[in-house]
Amino acid sequence: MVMLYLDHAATAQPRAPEVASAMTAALAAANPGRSGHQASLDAARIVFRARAALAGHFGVEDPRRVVFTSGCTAAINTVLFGILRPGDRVVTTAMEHNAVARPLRALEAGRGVTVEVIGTDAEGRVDSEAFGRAATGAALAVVNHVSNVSGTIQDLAGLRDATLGVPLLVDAAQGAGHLPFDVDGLGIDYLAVSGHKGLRGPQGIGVLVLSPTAPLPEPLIHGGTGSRSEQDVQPGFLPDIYEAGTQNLPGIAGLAAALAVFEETGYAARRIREEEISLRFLEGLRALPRVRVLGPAEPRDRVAVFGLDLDGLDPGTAALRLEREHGILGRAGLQCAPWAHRALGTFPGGTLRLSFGPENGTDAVDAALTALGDICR
Amino acid sequence: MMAQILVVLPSIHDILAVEDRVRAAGLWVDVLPKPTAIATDCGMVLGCRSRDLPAYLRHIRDVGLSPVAVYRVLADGYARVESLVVEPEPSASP
Repeated sequence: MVMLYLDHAATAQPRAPEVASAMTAALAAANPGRSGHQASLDAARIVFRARAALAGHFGVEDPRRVVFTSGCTAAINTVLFGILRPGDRVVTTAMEHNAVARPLRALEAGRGVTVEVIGTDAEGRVDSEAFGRAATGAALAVVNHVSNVSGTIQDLAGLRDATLGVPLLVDAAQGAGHLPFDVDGLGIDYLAVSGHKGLRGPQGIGVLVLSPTAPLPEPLIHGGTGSRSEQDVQPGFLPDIYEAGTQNLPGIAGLAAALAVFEETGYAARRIREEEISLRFLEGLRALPRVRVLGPAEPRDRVAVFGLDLDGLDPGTAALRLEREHGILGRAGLQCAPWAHRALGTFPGGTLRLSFGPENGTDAVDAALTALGDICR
Repeated sequence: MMAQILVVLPSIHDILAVEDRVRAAGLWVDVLPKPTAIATDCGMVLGCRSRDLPAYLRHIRDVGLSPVAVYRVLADGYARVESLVVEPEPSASP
């Protein structure tokens, strides 16, 4: 049985061969920028060029505002724990992943931060005006750009306009690699990005992008940066302030290679294809009366991440049958986003999630529909 | 060629950013470990020729930076350059 991977929202598969090649080469490199020899400089240049490429990709003029992290969750934690102080109020949405929900609950319990969660419509969209009203006077606003549960795309421009004057953190774990970002143009203060999902890089690497006007979070990790070594305090300048310890050079090299491959195609062509896939899958699902699809009915309002409520059929059982009987790999349960499932009425049981990638064509859509038709009979 | 001037910048990222620019402009550059006798920095310095220093300073300014310090290399040590003159933008017309 041929396996069909439909779990791209969890991590991209397959990655381009260039990613592994770049990572393998980086394993032979020296510590980036820590020593004066050419090998160290060569390693530092890998980091430098990756940072510059990511800055260009996300619409950031100054590459120093691109900070490497261990992933999107680490980027989000850097902002939340580095900005929010006792007595602060933070406004966020009901569609957040645990990468946001858990640190916020920890800050609520540990620092007395007030967390205000704004609800959504039936398709998971947040009303910009309501969000903006709630955010007035808040220390921070936090928005999930694209839901890993329903594929819902939020109106980032509208949310930004509605929250002017309030620092805005965008969780772009699912959006990056699906939709283009113009961080400087949109005025996003903090953009947290995963390297291994839409950008199709390796796991264990992510990025925090900061706007020129964003308040600098207090660093969570202090230590060696290769700079200001005579001082026993963390350097206050970017990117060193947030990059204590030896950088993940293989991860950075792999992400840069993935980005180079990504940019051969670019967003426009990928987006057209994604909407075609979504349209075909949504139309096919309408013929399966036992299946309720979470999220927007219009392909333009979503990415190709589909949460499926199977009318009483346990999502775990459904996922198992898809794998064992049809060779289709999806993900069952809450997908680390219980808030979103509560908002969409699928808590605590969760859903079966199928998420398509750029390599998946109409044959993958049809295979998934056939398999779903079988298990939902 | 040996560097006649050492330029100290905050981070290795800044060093490499300026290195890229000055190389693209056709200027000679070397990236060197920082001598222990000179100021605080990222552990590396940019080495350049004396005559290129004003152009270097312009490129540094153009990437939004200021040098932490600039030193002239002497036979027996280093002398800090206190007066830094930035070269004007190249004119588009002759």
